[in-house]
Amino acid sequence: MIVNNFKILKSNLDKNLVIPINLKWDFLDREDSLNLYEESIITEIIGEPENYETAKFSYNYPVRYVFNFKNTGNTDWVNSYVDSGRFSENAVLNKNNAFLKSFFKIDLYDSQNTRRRKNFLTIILNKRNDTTDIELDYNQGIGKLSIPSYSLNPVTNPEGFYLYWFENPDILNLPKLYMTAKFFDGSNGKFTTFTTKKQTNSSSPNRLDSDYFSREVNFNYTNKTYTIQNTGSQTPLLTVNWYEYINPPEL
Amino acid sequence: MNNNVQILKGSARYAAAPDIDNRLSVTLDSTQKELTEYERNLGIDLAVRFDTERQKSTTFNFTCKFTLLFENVYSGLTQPITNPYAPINRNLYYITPEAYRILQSNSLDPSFEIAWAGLPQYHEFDFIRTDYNVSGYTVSANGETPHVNFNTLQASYYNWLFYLSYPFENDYTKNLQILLDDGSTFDWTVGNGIPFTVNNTTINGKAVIEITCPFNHNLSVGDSVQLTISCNSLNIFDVYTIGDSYANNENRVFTIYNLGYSDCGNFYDGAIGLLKKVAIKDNPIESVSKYYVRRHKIISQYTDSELTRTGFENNPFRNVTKFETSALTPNLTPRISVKEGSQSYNLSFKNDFDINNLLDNLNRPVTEFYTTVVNRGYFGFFNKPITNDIGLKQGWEFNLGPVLNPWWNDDNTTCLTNVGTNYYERTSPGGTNLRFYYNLPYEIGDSLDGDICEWNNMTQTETVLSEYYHKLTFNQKVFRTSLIGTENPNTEGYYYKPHYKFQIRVFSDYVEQSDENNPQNFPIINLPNYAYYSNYNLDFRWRDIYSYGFIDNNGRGVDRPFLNNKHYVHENFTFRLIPEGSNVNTINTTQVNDPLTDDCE
Repeated sequence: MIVNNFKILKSNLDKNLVIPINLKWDFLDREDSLNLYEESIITEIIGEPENYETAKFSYNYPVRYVFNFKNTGNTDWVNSYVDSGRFSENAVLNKNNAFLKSFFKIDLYDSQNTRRRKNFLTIILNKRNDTTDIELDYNQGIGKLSIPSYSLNPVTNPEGFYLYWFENPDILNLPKLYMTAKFFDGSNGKFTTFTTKKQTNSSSPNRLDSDYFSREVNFNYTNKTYTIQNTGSQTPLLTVNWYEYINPPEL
Repeated sequence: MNNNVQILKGSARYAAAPDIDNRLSVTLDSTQKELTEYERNLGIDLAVRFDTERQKSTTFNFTCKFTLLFENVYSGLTQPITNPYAPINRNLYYITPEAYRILQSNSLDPSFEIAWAGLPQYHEFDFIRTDYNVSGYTVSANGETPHVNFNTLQASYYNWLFYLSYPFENDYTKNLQILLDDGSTFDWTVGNGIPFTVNNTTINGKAVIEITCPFNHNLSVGDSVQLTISCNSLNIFDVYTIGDSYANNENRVFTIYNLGYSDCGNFYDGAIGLLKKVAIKDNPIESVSKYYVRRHKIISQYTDSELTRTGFENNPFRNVTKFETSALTPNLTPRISVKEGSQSYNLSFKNDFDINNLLDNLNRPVTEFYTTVVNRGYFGFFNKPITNDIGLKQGWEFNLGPVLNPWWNDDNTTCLTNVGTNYYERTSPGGTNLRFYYNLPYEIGDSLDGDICEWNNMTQTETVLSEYYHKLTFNQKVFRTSLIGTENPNTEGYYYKPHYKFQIRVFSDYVEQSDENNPQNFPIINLPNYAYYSNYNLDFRWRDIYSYGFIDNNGRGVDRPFLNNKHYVHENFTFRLIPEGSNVNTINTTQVNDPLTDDCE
């Protein structure tokens, strides 16, 4: 190149040759990487947003809870307030205070272990219970006698039919809950536990297995449904029978 | 420095030494070190974190409230007339039951039953059926199979099905029809524009050409319009005025200043043509509007919807019920019948929806979702198939009353939806076999039509011109509403609007423009892939999407609650079942419409 025709003459002085070299360092977008790193650190510190919302889980079928009290006349159980001696016929028909203030309570726990379990959900069954026809005294016709049984469905009796549970299964990571039942008696303030099967079915009625006291409740997080089934069974129950627990058992 | 370098010419070194080129190597050492920033501080502000997560989230939860407005107006007779199908004949809201009691009592045979005139009860139209224990109808009577074995879990799915949908494509080829004043019809394809009729008149002594459209023309004074009717090759005209001397005609009528156009002979009174809006007169090719039917894609199963009664809200009208005394029923059984109800409903969906990667009908990020309501009619009063097992009809707002439009005639198969039907059979006491049809549900991915819309590339605006409607008609083989003569192929029915909008984001009020030739003047930053490139202006055009929570000075924007890493979108809708004869859309009215026949039905 013509521009490079230069002479360097010898002299006793040091010579400096200045060659301009343009150095540009590209730090472009490095900030983006830092921002990403920053975001990951923040996430690590304060966590990702979680979905703590509860959804309405519906039973796949109309479900019926049937509570059987110990019969006063024999060793069997009976679905009646009157035959079990809990309340007189008049008390049930006239709905006296003790009867009105009594209620059934369904509890859902995370475990069958009674010492370690935690109660996550509770259903108080309302007063819209099933009835049976009864002939009234003094030729008053046919009356409706309440029985300890509840038919739940979305139209006629929806209260207690739905469970409101986390829609994100990872929040608690509980594969299933365990359902127990109690009756709170307004006439004496005591409560009665129920078993899933008659005590007489057990070979050791004085020492019942844990599956006698609870049923499994499984949630379908996709369809937002739940099912109640006996422990170890895969069949959803349409009628959930409960039997009054007697201790010591009358055999 | 030891830089004592001697540079000798080659021939100076020794005798006969040649001169050669010398090179001096200069080594360049460059050592650089970045300044170490030991600390990087960041304040974790709750509001900033909330906004960051909100803008990042693409998950939506949709809920809405429906107010159901309905007037029960169409009475009829259960078929066949003698020995009619008892489950329906015995469960109507009777009209003049005394007359029918006398007619039936005149028979010598006590088991003989005639059809009693009445209205289908409100249960046939309600969102959630509550007639779960009607003997013979929904529960078994005397061991016989009921009309429908009522399943309480299906109570909210018997009459109506609810879906979530979004517009995903445009149909420019939909064939439409309007009813003209003289009773004739005009057919056109939606992509060709908006039909109109011509009327030559004067305004303040000035000659104008008045153009009347069947639905919203979306024009303003100063806009230009391209007509299929031309004058000396001129087919683009300026809008002179909007509306006429009648009420509510601003969106349907406009005028063109008549600069002798009528002398061409094409703009005669009653002339019919098609028009398209032109946003920029100098650039008619690019700025002419497109017209199409928006199509929706279903993205939820009908079982994903969850319908509940509102706890404390009813519509302004009352429940209409009456006690049918035993003597005034065909089977001598007293009951309470319901004509109209006032319950409102909440609708939610069991699952959340991720909008990531969803594009709308204009290939933009989706900004609108819709609750889509489609009749099911499982109890079989409606939806007798016309052809291809389809009974549900569709049309647009201009196809509604006040005059029964031939568009809805059974002969017109273009008015049919794509909703298939199925049926079950029951036998009347006289042995007549009756088919009860009901609509099949949509599945995820199915599509259906929507509103008629206009899109303009220059203004980057989509405008709904006419809303989409469905029409229910009674199955005359089961419940005859046209009582005189032969079966009417164009029976009266109820109209309803299927699509109800959830706005999740909005486009900006302004149009962004780029200048590719002069990027230094207007650099293209964050150019969205849905931007429109104008060959005429050599620039891109688009509207920005406002961020969540931002509302501009004009009130444009959405600010939905954000919680649990999702956006909660709630809207209130009014669902109207409109009977034939609504005159709310009547043009050329000079007074407020008669409230007895307005859209409140």
